[in-house]
Amino acid sequence: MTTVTARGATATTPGAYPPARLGLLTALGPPPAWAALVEALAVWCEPVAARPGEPGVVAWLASSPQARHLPAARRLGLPVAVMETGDAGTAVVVSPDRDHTRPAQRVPVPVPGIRASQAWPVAPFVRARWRRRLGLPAGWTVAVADLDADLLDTALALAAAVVVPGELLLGALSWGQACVTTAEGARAVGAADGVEAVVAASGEPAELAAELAGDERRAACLGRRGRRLVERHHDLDLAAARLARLLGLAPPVAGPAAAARRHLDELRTPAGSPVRARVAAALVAPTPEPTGGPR
Amino acid sequence: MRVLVCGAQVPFTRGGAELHMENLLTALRGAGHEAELVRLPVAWDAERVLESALAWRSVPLDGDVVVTTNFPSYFARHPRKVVWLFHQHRAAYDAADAPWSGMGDDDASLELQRLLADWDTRVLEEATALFTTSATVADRLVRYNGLEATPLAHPPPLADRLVGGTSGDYVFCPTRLAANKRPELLAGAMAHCGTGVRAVIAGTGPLRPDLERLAREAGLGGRLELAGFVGDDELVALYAGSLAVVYAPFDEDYGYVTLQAFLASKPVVTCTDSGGVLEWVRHGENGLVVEPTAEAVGAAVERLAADPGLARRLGSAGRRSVEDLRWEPVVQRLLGPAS
Repeated sequence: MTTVTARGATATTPGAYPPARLGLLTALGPPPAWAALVEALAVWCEPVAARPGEPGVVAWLASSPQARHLPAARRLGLPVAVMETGDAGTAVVVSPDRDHTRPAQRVPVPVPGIRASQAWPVAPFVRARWRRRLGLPAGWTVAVADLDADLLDTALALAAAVVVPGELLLGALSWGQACVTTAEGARAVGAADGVEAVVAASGEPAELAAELAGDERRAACLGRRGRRLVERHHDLDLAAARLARLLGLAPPVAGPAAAARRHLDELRTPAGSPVRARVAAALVAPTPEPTGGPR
Repeated sequence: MRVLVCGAQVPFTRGGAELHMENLLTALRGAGHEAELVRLPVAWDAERVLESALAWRSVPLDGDVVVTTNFPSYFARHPRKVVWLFHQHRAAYDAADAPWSGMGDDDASLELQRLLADWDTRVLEEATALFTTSATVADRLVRYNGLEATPLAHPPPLADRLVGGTSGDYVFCPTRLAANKRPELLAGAMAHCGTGVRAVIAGTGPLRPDLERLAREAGLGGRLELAGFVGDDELVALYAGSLAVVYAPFDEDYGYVTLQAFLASKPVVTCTDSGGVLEWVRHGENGLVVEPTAEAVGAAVERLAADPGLARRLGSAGRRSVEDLRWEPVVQRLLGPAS
């Protein structure tokens, strides 16, 4: 079977910015909850495990207990981001900026979170064409829990509807899938029954998925709203982008080429999409003809 | 209010969309607003269709409100963007399998469909209000993009000039001679008519040589007239003097021809897959709805030719079903509080 995957692609433009080194200061490497955030930050910079005072580091990301080891960085005016989890939720607090002119900024980190750029929303009618191309049944539904991990993305891209356990719901929603899930799973991500997903409270999950597979309009509405739920409330890429800006890792965006890139990013265009290359080529300034100097 | 109406331009092509934009401008100005039309060229081929969309993202639009219409004008950015959707890039959606779409089921085509559907959904979600020209277009939006929209019907061009007249010996079909309009259904239907009824097809397009060949091969002689482009005066006269109007496009968005025929008190013969036309034509009430075959269209034409009284009754009912259409409520909805 053809494997459809968006792994490695991002909605931003890796390689478009010079890599800056982000020092990671944590006792045992990034805590698991933060690993995906650090992975998302790698779009903007080169995260490196480092000791306080390490040369070449332009900003720091530290766990809360380790941040006390960074007075030197603060004296040097390097931005320091501290990861905190408490009653106010999980967030990264950035303080202060290089010029010490702004107060500390708090960047909420979604929990549970997922990198939305790692999945591409596929509308039901496109899924149907893919299935026809691959010879899969028209109303193919999948129970995600029964799948091998390496087939997960393919199934989420192609199936007409899925039955998905709570812990995998965000991933399924990020593909724009029409999902049948548990009440607990839906509650954990803030999905409302019949709005972003279908909760199998009373019905048989497989039958509910088959119903969705036969109703392209309902599946399209659920898939769209589910994807937006992920983008608005659970997207680690969004948190990483904001963090990168506050840490000075994302250079200011200016000029027509940068504006076009921003438009493409806003539309969540995958990094490898040919339209990005065509737009970049169209916006390259023509090399001036040599004139031989003023006459 | 300063209103910018945004629409795509296909250079050297003029059809229903162009008339729609111009009539909207007239209606806006008539309601006391300043209104200007902003158009950018679009290319339909897969290699350039996304660039046409992106171009709209960068256009500065300084007005109080923008009303965007056909693909890809709704990619425009404005804090008060009202979408009145004529159609999306149909070759990537409902017409992907049509011979003229240029869309295959290869990787590149499927990714283009996926990406365009995602882009469309995002930019249409930006709208402060989302209207469509018809329930057919609204249905496509919910089916393909998961978005709900409100259909907003409007009068066709020449609405104030079209009048009924004495039924003649011909059925009339004003249309672009293009594959999605299926003029060959009427041309082919004439081979199945024995009552001597004629067909007049007015319009230009790439299918003209095919229609001429079809008429020769079927031995239609003078029973099929390809009138080419006709001006407004002649168009009004052709409607008025016809027995009925045959309009059988594939999944039409809205279809001015239907409304114009009804305003001229003529029944409409259409097909079961003609899309927006079916929102107006009710079988046996104000027209005839048949299968999309030359035989079925021919039988419907024969039925009306054999019973002119039926044609008159259906035509009168058609007139009643559209005579309340006005531009004023359309302008109010587009610029009203909900927008």
